Amino acid sequence: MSFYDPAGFWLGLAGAGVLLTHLIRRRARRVTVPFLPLWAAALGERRGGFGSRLMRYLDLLLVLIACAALAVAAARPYTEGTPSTARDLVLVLDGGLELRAGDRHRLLWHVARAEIQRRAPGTRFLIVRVGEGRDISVRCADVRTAMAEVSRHQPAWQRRSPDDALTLARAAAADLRDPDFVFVTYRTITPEDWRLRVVKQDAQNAGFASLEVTGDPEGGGRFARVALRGEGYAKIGEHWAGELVAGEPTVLQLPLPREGEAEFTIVLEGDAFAADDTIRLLLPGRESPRPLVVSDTGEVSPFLISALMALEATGAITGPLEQTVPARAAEAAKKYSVVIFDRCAPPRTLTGVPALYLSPPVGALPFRVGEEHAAPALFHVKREHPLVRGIDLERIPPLNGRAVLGGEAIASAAPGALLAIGPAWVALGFDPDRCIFASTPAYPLFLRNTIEWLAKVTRRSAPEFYRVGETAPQKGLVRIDGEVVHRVGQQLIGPPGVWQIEKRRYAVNLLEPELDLAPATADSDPLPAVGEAGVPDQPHAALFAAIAAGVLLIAWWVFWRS
Amino acid sequence: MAGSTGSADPQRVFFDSREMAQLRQLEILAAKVHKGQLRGERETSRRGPGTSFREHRSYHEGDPLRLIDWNVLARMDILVVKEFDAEVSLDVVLLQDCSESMRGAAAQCARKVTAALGAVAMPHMDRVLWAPIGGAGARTADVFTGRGRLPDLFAAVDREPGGATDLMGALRGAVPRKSRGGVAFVMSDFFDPRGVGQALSYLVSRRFQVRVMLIEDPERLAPPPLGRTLLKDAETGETTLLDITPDVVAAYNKAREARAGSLAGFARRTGSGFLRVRADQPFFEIVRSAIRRGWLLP
Repeated sequence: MSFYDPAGFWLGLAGAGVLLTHLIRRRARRVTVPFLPLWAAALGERRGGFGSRLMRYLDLLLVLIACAALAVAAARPYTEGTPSTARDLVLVLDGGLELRAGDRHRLLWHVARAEIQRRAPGTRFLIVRVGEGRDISVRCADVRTAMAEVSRHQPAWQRRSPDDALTLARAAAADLRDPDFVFVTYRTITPEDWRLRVVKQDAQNAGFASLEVTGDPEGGGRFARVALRGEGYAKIGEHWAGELVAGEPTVLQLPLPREGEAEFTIVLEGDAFAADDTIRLLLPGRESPRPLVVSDTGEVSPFLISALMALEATGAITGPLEQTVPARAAEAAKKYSVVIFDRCAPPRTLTGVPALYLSPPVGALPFRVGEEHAAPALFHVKREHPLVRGIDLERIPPLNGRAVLGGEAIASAAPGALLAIGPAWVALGFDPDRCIFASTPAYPLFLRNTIEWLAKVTRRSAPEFYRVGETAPQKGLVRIDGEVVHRVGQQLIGPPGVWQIEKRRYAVNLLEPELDLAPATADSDPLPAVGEAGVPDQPHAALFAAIAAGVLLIAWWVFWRS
Repeated sequence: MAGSTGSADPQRVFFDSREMAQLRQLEILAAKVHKGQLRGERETSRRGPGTSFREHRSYHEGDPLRLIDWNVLARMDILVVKEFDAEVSLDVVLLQDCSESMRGAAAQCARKVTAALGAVAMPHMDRVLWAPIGGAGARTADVFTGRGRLPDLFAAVDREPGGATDLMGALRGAVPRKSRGGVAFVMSDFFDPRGVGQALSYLVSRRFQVRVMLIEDPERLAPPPLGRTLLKDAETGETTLLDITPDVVAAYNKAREARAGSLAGFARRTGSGFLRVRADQPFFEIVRSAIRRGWLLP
């Protein structure tokens, strides 16, 4: 027991005064009696035991107890409560659309809520939303408001990096009590000082995926080991196993496979991490399309050949280049992903094959062509379309051309669309050889865009990535990471991970604009409670005052009875 | 005599002329009441010197010539001698408590009662043995016989209290082992730490008819006011610290009554007389009470 005001014990001197008064009052008189043994008989009865002696001093005892209780009450006693061991929580919510990809009521939102609910009462929360147009940090004083705040969170396209989020969170949490940072994204990044960032930008073009691992623990000296184990890339995995130096970012270049795909397991180990962490990374293969050129005479435009050879040299397409006549095109097209018809019409037997039609004549086309016009001027181009990315068609005046009727117009002139697309075709309504287009660097770029676009269209029936919660089109979906195998069929796809549909792997939870990270953290694991609620101080002054009053009443009663 | 007041006219100290006249009347009354009883001037059932003719018997050689009844010899020519009932004096033992505990009214009461008893007994040629209880310890009794010694007795009983009560010691000094018995009057508060039963039994064993007078001074025996009190024994000087409470007072009064009851019980068992008086009672009220309750009858 502690006391708020120990000076109150001076009131205990009142007890000394009471005792002194009692002693004075009880000072013995001197009386001479004729025969003392006569009193001894009476004494024998009165001095019988402890009870009788206690009764003689009961009134004094009670008053002294009352004085003591009053003194203790004046000192304002209290029982020290247990200090709260709760750490304040800084909850950084990733605002990227990848959160929307999952079943937010069961996955990431569940994680966020579980993080809040397992906190001890008295924990203060700072919820930082990342990825929204402005910095938003909300302070919540209790679990209920924090839960409501998390529920209001709406994912959006992420425009802030996790670094910015952590910087914002640190600045906002300066006054919190030993805050515990939790970054709720597809991975819950703990601890805060180690971050794994996958830089995917331009990695596809360069043939590499870049991983930047930054270790920046306070105090330094700790390290983590990063091991990359690629399926079929054991050599690479061994090569990239190494150590991270605190404070020095380490960039790991992962070469993308030429064909197929590779799965890498990144293992983070070390005492700087709360636990060994594993990230599974699925990198798509670089399977370039292989075109087939068809012409009426069997001779291909030298500009076209030159451009395709350049694309083959850069790896954009797969060689060797093959050319044929329309009569054989139907048979030969089965081995190629894209067919280019150079100023000729396809045979009637060839349908459904992705094809590029350069200045097509009237024939068995999936679209119609109009009358030929001289010097059609292009006045409208959809610049954002992948076909014309990096190409300024408006600066290329064709000498003549035919309008493409049907499909979606990409570039239009007075007669109609000079560049149009369909479900599996692209048609250029003018002859590139008869204008400056074929001789410009934009021509092979146009060919690359067109071939990649057509090749991608053909693969859309089997997407590489599914979001969590999306319906898988095929039956027999099984999860291959770990021992648990789920058969979900047409149901919503479950936990994130790497899945396989009919021997083809897919990363569930991946979103094209975001990182190709598949979290391996088991969100379903029960989270241990964090901290304990403190017990406030319990004052006892009123209790002791009541005791004093009660004892005084008893003392008065005893005095009255005596 | 130690402790004596040495008054020139002790008779006047105790009794004035009116009181003495009443005592003389009491004497007469006592004589009437106790006629034929053993008195100092009265006959006994034994033969011996006396004034009351009992019978004649044949003369035996050696009988005193003065006992021969000459008239019978002259008339009937028979040589007989006259025999008389013996007349002996009565031993009256007066034990007066002169201890410190009797100081005050109790001591004065004891003086007057002792003096009155002497005044009643001595004119009848009874032998009065007076001895104080307490003071200098065991001592032999002073013997007073005859009316002329009454002032001496008065002077003896007029003692200042002092010393501790030692009833047994006083009795052993005052009563010889080969006593012929008598009447023993004990005037005391009986505050003897050694107890009084043994001493009184000693008197009974010496063929004394015991008359016990318990004198209580209400003023001195009254309990002190309630509160913490240091009690000091008047005789021994011992002290005891005591918190006087109503319960203690009640226990004290109970002890007093028990003690008086113990004395009364002893008197009943031994056929002795017991009289409990207050020291502040008028003297002749005490006398009347003694007569009424047969305390004076031997």
